[in-house]
Parts: sequence; structure tokens; C-alpha cells
Amino acid sequence: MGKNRKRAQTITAYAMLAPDIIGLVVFVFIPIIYAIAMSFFKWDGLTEPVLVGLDNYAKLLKNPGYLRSLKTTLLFTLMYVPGSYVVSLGLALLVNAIRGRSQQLFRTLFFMPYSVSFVVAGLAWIFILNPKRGILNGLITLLGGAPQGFYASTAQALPSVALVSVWIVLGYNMVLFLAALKDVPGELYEAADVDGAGSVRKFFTITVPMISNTSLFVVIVSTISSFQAFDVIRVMTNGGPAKATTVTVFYIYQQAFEVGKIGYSFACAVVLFLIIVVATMCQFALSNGGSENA
Amino acid sequence: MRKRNSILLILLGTLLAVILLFPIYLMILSSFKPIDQVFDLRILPDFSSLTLKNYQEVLQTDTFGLFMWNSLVSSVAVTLAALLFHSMAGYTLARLEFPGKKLVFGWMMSTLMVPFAVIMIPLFFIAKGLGITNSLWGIIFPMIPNAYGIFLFRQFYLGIPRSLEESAHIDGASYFGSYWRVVMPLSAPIAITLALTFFVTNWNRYLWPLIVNQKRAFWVIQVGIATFKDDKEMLWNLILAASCLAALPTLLTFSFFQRYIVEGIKMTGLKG
Repeated sequence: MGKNRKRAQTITAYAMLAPDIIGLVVFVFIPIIYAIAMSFFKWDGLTEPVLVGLDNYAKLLKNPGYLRSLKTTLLFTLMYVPGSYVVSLGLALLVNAIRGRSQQLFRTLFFMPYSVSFVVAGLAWIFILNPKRGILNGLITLLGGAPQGFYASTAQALPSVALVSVWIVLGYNMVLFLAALKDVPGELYEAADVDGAGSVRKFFTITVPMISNTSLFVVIVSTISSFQAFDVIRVMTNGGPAKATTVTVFYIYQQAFEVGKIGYSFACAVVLFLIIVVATMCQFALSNGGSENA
Repeated sequence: MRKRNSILLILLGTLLAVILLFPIYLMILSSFKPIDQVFDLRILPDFSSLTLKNYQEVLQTDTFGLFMWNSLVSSVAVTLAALLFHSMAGYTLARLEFPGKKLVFGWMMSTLMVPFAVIMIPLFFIAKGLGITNSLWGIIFPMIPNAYGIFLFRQFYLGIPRSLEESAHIDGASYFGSYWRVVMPLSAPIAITLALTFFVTNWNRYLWPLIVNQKRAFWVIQVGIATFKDDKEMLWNLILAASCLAALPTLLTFSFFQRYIVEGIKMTGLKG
């Protein structure tokens, strides 16, 4: 290849990459650098920023509001990740076991909730869970139970929000699990049948190890998204009642746009970033350790 | 035995489907009810009382149509720009040789590690600095860059044979020319999948449009219906009718093109 042709190729390459390089620099790379840099400043977004060193970090570690938001986020993760994992794997196993044409139909039906937005889902569920007039409390009363507070009570608000979030995402995870289940070679089950293994044993000795990559992917993706929960919470509870659903992203949003502590909100975001990175690495490490032992 | 098992499985599936789809069913059904019956508990309603009046009323408000239009324009614009940019970038990374290629690719993929929640506030100040807050550009531009899109196009182009482009090169086509005339038309399978995925994602997006546009004139439908709830004047029959209309584009997309969206999800996941 001639020198000219090589140069032409380089110029074409960077010209064709330019829109995405510029986009990623301006809208992802600069913001994260900006967040880290400005987290060392006291800034209200209007006046001149003042360099305060690690002050914002010292503050957030002592701030009960931030610490509580982390705890709420963790609780949400503990409900959302196992909840969505178990339900969507269960649905995938069921759909996979149904043979013939109805398999496609059930996949389509279970996938439907994923098509509505978080906002619409939040609204549809407030309608159902409405403590005074909602259909679920109507049903509970009809069966002789006491009406529940659901999203309007401090104890049930976070589980309600987690329930709605699981409801939306289970179709997505189910599709991933279903693809993994289809890839498990049928001979493995046949061999196990010959050995006289029951279906529970087959599930744990064949299915679980064969879909472990997908399992890991689902767990990591759900963990990361659970740390970023916002939409459903904003619509259903607006962080309440009594801050029972103020997760970290909600707290950051409030600090920045309602309280006006921009520098401090950046520090909170940077710590959230570190937590997500560490959590992801831990999950990778745990799963590698697990497969080495197997 | 086998027959009985499969009937049991179908019964179980039907029961679960009824439970899982009930919220959508109730939302649609109640959106046709007059206000005095909207919290009526009967699952099968008095069909003669169902009415289109809620929809008429929602469509007559001065903001609803505007919010839908803003959503449509911004999500279609993001989708088209993303397809063009990511396919150019994906093709370049799959086919051209140039200094810094590995570095650029690695750097692009590293942006996947940055969660949106971490950068949303700085992103607002950058948008403000660029003067694109309170405009549809503010919703569109920052949502175009997407390393997944680049990666998936690259993978697709790695999988198609070089011979087609080589004959174009022999005919004297430039790199861009062979991309535009030969490779782009072959991209339909991946482009359809990504187009539907981008469209649905951006139509449903809430947090960023909420942050970037405080002026009502530039709200999208998700932001609009979320505030209907806090509006004391707004009644539940209208909220539900508005929600159904807001969900209609994605419900239709999912009904007709589910195959592609499922394909898109599988591509982002790993095998095995």
C-alpha cells in the first residue's frame, strides 16, 4: 500500500469516527472528569466555585441523609436483584418447558410489561396500589383482610417500588435466560436421565452451571441498574414517605437541583461511581472463584 | 403423563400471564371509563358505559399533543443520528487501518463503564454551557453517543465478507464511497434491530429530559404524564388515557417487531 493511500485511509478513518468521538468526549468523558474535578469545590452553580479540597467528601461521610440514601439503595438492590433474577429465570424455565406453538405466545405475553416506560408503569401501579381506592386493597378487604398502605406507607414503599421495577424488567431478563437455556445441549439431560437423576438434581447439576455466564451478566446488569433507580421512585413516591425511598440517585438529584449544592452532589456521585465499580468487580471475582472451585 | 404435564404447564403459564398483564389490562380498560366508575372494582365492567370521552379530553388539552410531538421528534432524531454515526464508526473500526485504532476502540468501550446517574448533573452544566438546555437539541445531542451501538455495528461488519468492498475499491471507490454504496445497504438487519431499540429507549426516557428542559414547551410525554399525577385538577380517568397514548408507540413497536427487539437484547447479553 502506497504512502498516499495510507494517509488517505487515516484521514477517512478519523473523519468517519469524528461524530462519535466528539459525542463521547463532550457528553461522557468531559462530564465524568468535570464531576471528579468539581467535587473538590464548594459551588452552588451560580457564583464562583471555591476550592475546598476533600471537604465535600468529609461532609458526605458524616451526612446522615447521604448515608441513609446508601442504605436505602442497598436495601432496594437486595430486593430487586434476587427478585428479578428468580422470577425471570422461573418464567424462562416455564416458557422453555412449554412445547410447540404456545411457547412463542407465552414468551410474547411475559415480555409485554417491558414495553411500557417506567413512568407509565409507575402510574399504572399507583392506580392498582392506591391505598384508599385501589383494586388490590379492594380485593384484600373483600377477602376479609386489613387494607395496606403500599407505596404510601414507610414500611411498604420500598418493596412496592421494587415490585414495580421487577415487573418491568422480567421480560428482558427472561429473554436472556431463554436464549441461554436453548444453548444447553439436550444430550446432557438425556445422559442424566439414564443415570436416573431427578429434575431438581438436573437443574442444579446441569442447567445452573451451563447458564452461569448469563446469570452473571443478569446479576451485574441488574445490580448496576438498581444503584441507578430513579424513574419509578420519582413517579410513585417522590422519595417518600418520610424519605423511605430516597435512594442515592434521588438524593443526588435533590442536592443538585433542589438544595443547590452542586459541588457536594458531584462528590456524592463520585462515591456512587466507586461503589458501582467495586460492586461489579466483587461480583466478577466471586463468580470466578466459584467456577474454579467447581 | 407427558400430555397431562404440558396441560399443567400451560395452565400455570396462563395464570401467570393473567397476573403479569393485569396492570396493563386495567390501565387500558379504566382509560375508557367515566370518572365516577374509574375505581369500580369489577374486573369485567359495564361495557355500555365505556366511553372515548377521556381520550377526546386529553387530546384537547393544549399541552398533550405538544409533548407527544416533542417525544416523537427527539426520539426519531436520536435514532437516525445514532444509526448513521455508529455505523460509520463501526465500519471504520472493523475495516480501516490507521494509527491509534486500538486506543480509540478501547477508549470508546471504556465509556460503557460510566453510569448515567453519575454524570447527569455535570452533563446538565455542559448542556447549559453549549446553550442547548430548554430546547429539543438538549434532549437529542447528549443521547446520541453510545458505545454499545458502535460495538454492535463493528461486530456485524467484521462478519460480512470483504470481497464486496474490494471489488468496489478496484473500481476506484474511496473508503467512504464503498462504505456508503456497498456496506451501508447490507446493514439492514443490524440497523433495524438497533433502530427499534434506540427508538423505544428514547421514547421511554424520563430522567434526562426532566433535567435538561425545565420549560414546559420542551417537555416530552414521559415528563408530561409524570406531572399530570401531581396536578390536582387532573383526574385518574384522564391520567390513564394519557398513559395509554404515551405507551401506544412502544406497545405497537413491541407487538409488530418483537423479534428484532428480542434479537437486540440477546446481542447485548452473553451466550451461555
